[in-house]
Amino acid sequence: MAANYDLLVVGEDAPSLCAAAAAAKAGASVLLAPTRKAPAPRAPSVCDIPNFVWRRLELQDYGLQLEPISARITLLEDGVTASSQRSPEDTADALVDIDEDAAALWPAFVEEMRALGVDAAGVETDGVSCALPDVMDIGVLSALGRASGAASELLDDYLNGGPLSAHVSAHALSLSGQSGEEAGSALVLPEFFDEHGWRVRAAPGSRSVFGALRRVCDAAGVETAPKAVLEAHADSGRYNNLVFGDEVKRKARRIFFATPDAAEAVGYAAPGAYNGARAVLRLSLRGEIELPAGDEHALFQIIDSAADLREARDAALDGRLSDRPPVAFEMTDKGDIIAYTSFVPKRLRDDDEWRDWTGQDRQALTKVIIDRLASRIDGLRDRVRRRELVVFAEEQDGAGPFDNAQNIVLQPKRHNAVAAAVSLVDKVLADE
Amino acid sequence: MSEEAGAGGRSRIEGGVDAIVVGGGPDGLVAAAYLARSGRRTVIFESTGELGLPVRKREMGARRFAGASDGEHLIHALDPHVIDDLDLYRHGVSYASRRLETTYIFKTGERLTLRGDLREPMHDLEDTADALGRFATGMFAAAAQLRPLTSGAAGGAQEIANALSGDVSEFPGGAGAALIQSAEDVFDRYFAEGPLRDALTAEAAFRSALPPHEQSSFSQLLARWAGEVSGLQGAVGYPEGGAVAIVEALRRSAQRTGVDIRASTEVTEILIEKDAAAGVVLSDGGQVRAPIVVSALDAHTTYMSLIGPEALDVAFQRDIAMRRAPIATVQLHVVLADAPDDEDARGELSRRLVYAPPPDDVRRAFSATRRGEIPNDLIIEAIAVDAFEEEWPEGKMQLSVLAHPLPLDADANEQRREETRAAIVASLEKMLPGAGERIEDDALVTPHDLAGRGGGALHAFSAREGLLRQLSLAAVTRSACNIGGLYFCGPEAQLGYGLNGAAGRAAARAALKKAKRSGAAP
Repeated sequence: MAANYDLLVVGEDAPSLCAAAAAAKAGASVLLAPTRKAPAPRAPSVCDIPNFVWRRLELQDYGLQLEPISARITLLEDGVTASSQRSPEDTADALVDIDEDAAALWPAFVEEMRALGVDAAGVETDGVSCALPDVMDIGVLSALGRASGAASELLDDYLNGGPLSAHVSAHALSLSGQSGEEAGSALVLPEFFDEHGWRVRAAPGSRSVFGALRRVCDAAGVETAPKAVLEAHADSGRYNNLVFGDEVKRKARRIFFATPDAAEAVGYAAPGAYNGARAVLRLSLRGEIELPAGDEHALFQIIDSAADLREARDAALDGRLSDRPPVAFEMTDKGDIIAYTSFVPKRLRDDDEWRDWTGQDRQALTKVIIDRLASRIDGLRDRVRRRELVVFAEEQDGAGPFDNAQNIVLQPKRHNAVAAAVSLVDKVLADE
Repeated sequence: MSEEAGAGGRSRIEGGVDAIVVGGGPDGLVAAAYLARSGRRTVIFESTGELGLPVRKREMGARRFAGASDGEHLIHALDPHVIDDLDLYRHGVSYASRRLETTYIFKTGERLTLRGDLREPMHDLEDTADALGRFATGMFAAAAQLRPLTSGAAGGAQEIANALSGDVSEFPGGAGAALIQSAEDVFDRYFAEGPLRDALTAEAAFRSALPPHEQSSFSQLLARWAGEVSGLQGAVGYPEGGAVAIVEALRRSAQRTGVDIRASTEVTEILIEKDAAAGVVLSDGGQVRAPIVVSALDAHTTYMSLIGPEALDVAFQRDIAMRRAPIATVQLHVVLADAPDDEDARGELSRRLVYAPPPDDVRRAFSATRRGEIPNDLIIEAIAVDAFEEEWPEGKMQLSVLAHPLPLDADANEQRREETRAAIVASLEKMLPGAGERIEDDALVTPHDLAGRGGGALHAFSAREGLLRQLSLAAVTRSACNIGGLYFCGPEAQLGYGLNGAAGRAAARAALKKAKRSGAAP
């Protein structure tokens, strides 16, 4: 291992691996560090890997074949199911039975959201900085106004707050644990409907996404630290002194978090984040279960209605566990269920005192998530063989390992996180 | 001015008018005064019998409260150009206090007093004094960069981009970054947890549509600190006679410049001919024609009611319909028995008093308000109006209280109105223990009350969104959908809250600039 690196990438998810590999291929010395002692359960789907990343990383040489998830499905209360496909027209046809008026508007809505993304593209807002385009006109300002508003405003305009509105809310906003009322939450919608916002998973017979990306990193010269960072201190120059769990010491000029989850997992609070954290539950099952809609390659969300998002967000803000958080789930090729939610509190509160997670809290959350899944999947409860929960909220007592570091770059939560992370790491290296 | 009767003795058509201002609120008065100063024959039409709404004098029973005003009670953003150009000091504006100190009162009963100029060293803050100094320096620099925007001097899209793109060495990322960040993120960089941070959190949330942890929530504070009182940026002033004295001075200035003020005269239509404003139609069917029409009414009333959607393109209609948060500030005037009788206690009251709930309670209050519920803990800004009078009235004391955040429909029915009043009194009680029992008389002033008096849309009284969104809405509404001769200075054209006048000035100046370019001499 070299002693000094241009970039420390913290995280083991697809955006982190892609960013690390892209930086190394661009000539940077890159060190990749894990966030945990053992890898967290991974959902089988990842955000799309766009062509420019695919070509840069030459992924075709690593046995990777991707296919889009088959559908985004929302399991609402009383057996109502809303499903959308990648094609807006196919979606409109499929949604007619649920909400005929809103289904008719669906293609126009998707087009409008994509147009909003184009109009607002020159405005870079990530919750921390805001760069406006050099040339502004009233169209850009108008897009800026809409994008800096609430997602619920745009959803209500087109989808009238009905089941389709709940469907989009669940899938688009659950990523960041928002309810859709927040200022700036509208900005999620253009990237959600962007073609790279559609998630993908490894096709049958393909190498796993993470296996392939690991190999790409290795081939590109990315070095991997076996243990997580324990301490990072800015030195007197432009570097950070790093101490790892195995007491190895290294230096890195920049510290790069490709996702806020990676940052939260090592106790670095993402600016702009409310008291929300992500939790992932892997359920290993006995025998086979039948998924609603019979689609094993879909991404599911469970909510009763869009109001669940607000209730769960408010509970997290208050430091409480919601009794019905929005839960997303997917089925792995091995038949496990990976369920996740972004609506759990980073820290909990009892009697006006904030505290960290305990084993009891984890048990309670596990039960809540299984209850939500069991409310939609017949016979699930009897088939659970093993459960593994990870809450991406590191203990907060005392200083976090990166509190005294410098030159930290953090990518906000994005539906097109791979594209965004690689673009951001390119920008960081160009600034160097 | 010429008048002619229509065929068959129908409605009159009045000519000879150079400029019409629709709406006699503060910005309407400012716009009209600027237009009249340039020699334009200018008419204001105000549908009610009062000028300056929503600000108006508050009378309570037989008691004299010279300074009590509905709508606003302090001044922090009155455009200095408006004061100078319209000679407001000569027309009666003077300050009882130009730089009010603020005393923050916390749930624990602790108090913290900050000077009227945050940049002055406050040694009594001990270990947080340096942090406050650094914070104030950075924030005032970023706020100063926004002044071309809040003053209305930069209203065009490119001007806005230019104002936001410059570096501010004292604030990393410049004014653009300051606009997008949450108040809590900004405070994280300067302050540990403690009373000072809690006070600033309450300030950032006060009168804002955004809770302090949400993106753009810091911008409300920046907009406020972009203002000035008597040349001191970020100060808060109390005018002699209260805020209503400002609108009275604006009225006098407008009259002195020759503005023809026609109260109780309702405009029912803005005439558009060949893509340009041509005058207005009054409720009696008469027309008044003029090449310049300035609307000081809200955007929905101006564009959708007085002009009509058929004259507006679809994107413009969509943009002006930008939803406003259903969150508002509610005012309560309170007469308390047993006023303090010693000078020290009275001196303590000659400040801006703010009840700053703990940040967790502030966040919960916004969540409750968004659900349409009335929160348990409200941020309170209270002014003891008697403290600024020459003589303190015997035995009693009046407070003007602004409470935030509350649902916009806080008075949907009598029961809800009473719940709103009770919530404000409960928070007031936390600030001034025993105040609840000493209330002899009170009057609630809700957005619905204010909208009802002025005939405007309720949502025009919503709390302010982030400044980026305000900028967008202001630019769109000021563009007037490219209708020639039409200018807009309604509430959507103003950035930040409070009596300001910059939008009225900007609308008049834009009209005059255009007229000069086209050679239309007065």
